[in-house]
Amino acid sequence: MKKTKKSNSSMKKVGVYIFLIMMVLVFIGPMVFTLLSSLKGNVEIFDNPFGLPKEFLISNYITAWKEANMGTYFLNSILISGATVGILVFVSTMAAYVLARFKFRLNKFLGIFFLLGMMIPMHTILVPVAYIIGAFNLKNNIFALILLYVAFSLPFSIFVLTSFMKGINASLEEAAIIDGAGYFQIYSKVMLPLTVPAISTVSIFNFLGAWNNVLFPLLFINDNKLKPISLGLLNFNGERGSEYGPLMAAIIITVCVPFIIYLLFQEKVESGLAAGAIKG
Amino acid sequence: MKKIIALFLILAMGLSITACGSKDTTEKDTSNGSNNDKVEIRLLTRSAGPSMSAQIFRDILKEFEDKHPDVVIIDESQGDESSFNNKLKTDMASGTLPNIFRIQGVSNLGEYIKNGMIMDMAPIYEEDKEWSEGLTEGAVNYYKVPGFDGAYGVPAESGLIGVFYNQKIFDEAGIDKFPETWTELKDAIAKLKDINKIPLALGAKSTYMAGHLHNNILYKWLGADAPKKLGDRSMKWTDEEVVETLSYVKELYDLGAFPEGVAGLSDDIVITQFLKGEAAMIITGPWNINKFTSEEETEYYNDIKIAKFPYFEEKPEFKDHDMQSINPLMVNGKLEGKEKEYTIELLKMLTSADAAKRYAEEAQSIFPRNNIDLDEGALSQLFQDVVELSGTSTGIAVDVFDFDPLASMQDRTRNSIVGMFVGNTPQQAAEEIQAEVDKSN
Repeated sequence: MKKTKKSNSSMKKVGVYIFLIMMVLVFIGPMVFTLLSSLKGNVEIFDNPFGLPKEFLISNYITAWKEANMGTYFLNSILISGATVGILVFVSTMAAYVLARFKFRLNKFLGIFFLLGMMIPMHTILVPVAYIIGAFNLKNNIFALILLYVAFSLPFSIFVLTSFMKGINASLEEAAIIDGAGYFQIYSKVMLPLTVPAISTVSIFNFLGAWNNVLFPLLFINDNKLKPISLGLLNFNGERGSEYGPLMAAIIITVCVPFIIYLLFQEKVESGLAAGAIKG
Repeated sequence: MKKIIALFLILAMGLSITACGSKDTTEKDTSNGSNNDKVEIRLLTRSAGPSMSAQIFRDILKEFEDKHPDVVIIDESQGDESSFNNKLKTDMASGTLPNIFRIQGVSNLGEYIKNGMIMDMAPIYEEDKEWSEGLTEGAVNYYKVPGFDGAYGVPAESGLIGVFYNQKIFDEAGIDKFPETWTELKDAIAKLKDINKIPLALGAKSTYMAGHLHNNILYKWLGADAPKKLGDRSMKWTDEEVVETLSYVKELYDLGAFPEGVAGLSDDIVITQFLKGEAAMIITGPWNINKFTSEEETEYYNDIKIAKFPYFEEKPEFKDHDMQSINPLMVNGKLEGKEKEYTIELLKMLTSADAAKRYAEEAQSIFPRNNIDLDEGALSQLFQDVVELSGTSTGIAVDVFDFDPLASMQDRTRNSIVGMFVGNTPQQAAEEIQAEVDKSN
C-alpha cells in the first residue's frame, strides 16, 4: 500500500518536473535565440536558429550601439521610466491611502472609477489623445509623455496599493494617533514603509511598461534627441527586410536595465504581488 | 483637519507637477527658439531601416536640408508596417498629416481627396515638364483615382514582381527552360520535388507573399483590369472565374509546391531557403536583387535569374499582364506658401532622374522613369534583366485590393488566401472575402 502511494507521488513529481522543464524551455528558448542571434548574420540566424554561431559577430553590438543611437536613447529611457515611476508612486500611494483608510460618501465610487481605467484599451483613445497633444503643441514634450504613462498606469497602481494598504493592521495607525501623529505623518511614517513590497511591485511593473512602450513615443516624439530606446530598436526594421543580428544585440542591451532592476527588487515584487492577491 | 490635509496633498501634487513641468517648458522654448523661423517638412514613408535605398533616401533629405538652411526636415518614416500604419492613421485622424506621406491603394484615396488631404499633382506635372515627362506614363496613370480628376501620387519605386529562380537547381532537376505556361510550371514542380528541392519558397506568415502569388495568378487568368472590376463591384469574389484563381493557389499547395509548414513560415525564413539553394523559385520584387547577387549572401549569386509568372494556355491574351510594385509619395493637400513650395521641391528631388540613377546603381532599386542615364558597368545582369522584363508588360496592376474602396481588404484578401493553407476551400476563401464586401454595403 505504502509502495503504491510512494510510486504515485514519484509519478506526480516526474509529471511536475516534465511540465516545469517544458515551461523553462518555452520561456528560456526565446532568450537563448536572441542571445545567439545577436552574434550571427541574417542568413545564419534563419538557417541555424539555435546553433552556436560559426563566427561570433561582436560587431553586431557595435553596430547596435551606433545605429540605434543607444547612448542618447538609453539615457532618455532611464529618465522617462524613472520619472514615470517617481510621480506614479507619489500620486498613487496618496490616493490608495485615502481609499483604503478614509470612510466618505464617494469612496466606493472613486475606487470603481479608478478600476474602470484598467478596462480602457490603449488603442481606443489614441485619436483623442493625439488630438489633445497636437492642440496643446505637446509633441516632443517629454513631460507630456511621462504624464501619459502615469495616467495609464494609475488605475493598476491604485488597485494594488489600495488592496495592500487595506490589509495593514489598523492598530499601528491607532498607536501613531495616540502618540500624536497627524494624517500626513501616518501616511509617510507608518503606511509608506509598510507598503514597500507593494510599491516595489508597482514600480517594477510601471518601469517596464514605460521602458517597453513604443506606441506613445512613436506617435508623439520625433526629435532624435528625445527618443527612447524602444524607438531606437525600430531603426533596424526596414520595409524590405531587417538586420536581425544588430537588432538582437540591441535587444540584449535594452533588456539589461530592466533585468538588473528586476533582480534587485525581485523578492519585494513577489511578496508584494502575493500580498496584494490574498488581501484584496 | 481633513480639509487641511487634502489641501496640502493637492498643493504638494501641484507643486511637483509644476516643478517638473517648468524644466521641460524651458527646454522646449529653447528648441523652438532656434527653429522659429524655419519651415518644417515632415515625411512619413516606409523608407527606413538599414537598406541602401533607405540610406539614399536619408542622404537626399540631408542634401535638401543643406541646400535650404531655413528648412528643418523631420523624417518619421517607419520600416515596420504596423508602426507605419499606427502613425499614419493617428496623424490623419488628429489632423496632423505630414507634408509627404504614402498610402497604399488607389480607390480608398477618394475619401482623403474629398477632405482635401491629398494634393492633386496634375498641375505640378504640367508646370514642370522636365521633371514629369521622364516619369513612366503607366505608373503616373495608376494614381488617377476613379471618380476624381487629377493625379494623386507620384510614383517613386516600381518593378516587376516576378519569379526569381535558381538555374543550377533547374539544371539539376532536368528542366531545360523556365516554365512559360501553367502546365509547364506543374511539370517543373514535380521534377523539383523529385530531387528533394522546395519548388516555390513561400512563407505565408508574411501574408503578402501569398497575396503576391494570387495577384500573379489573377492577372494571368482575368487580366490586369480585374482589380478595378472587383473594386467597382461589377465583379464578385464569389464569381466562378474569381474562385478559379483561388483554386489555382490551392492547386499549387496540394501539389506540394511550397515548403512544409508554409502557414507558419515568415518571408525571412523562405528567402534564406532560396539563398541557400534549398528552394528553386521565389516570387518577389526587385528590392531583393542586392541579396540575390551578393557573394556574401549566397553561393548561387551567378545562378539566380528572373522570369515572368507562367501564363495559362487558355488565356494567352493575358500573357504579359503582370504584377508590378509601384510605391507612391503623396503630398499634404492643405499646404500653403513657402511650406508648399519647399515640399514640392523636395518631392521632385526625391523622384528626380538623378535620384533614380542613384537608386538603380547603388541600391539596385527601380524607379518608374525612362530618362535615366545608367552606367551599365555598375549594374548586375539580374538587375538589367528585371528592368528589361518590366518593360514588356502590356497590362500592369499592383495588389488586387488597390482598387477596392474598403481599406480592410488588404488584410481580408491575404488572410483568406492563407486560410486555404490550413484547410479552407477556394469557395470558402471567396465567400469570406465577399462577406467583407457585403458587410460594408
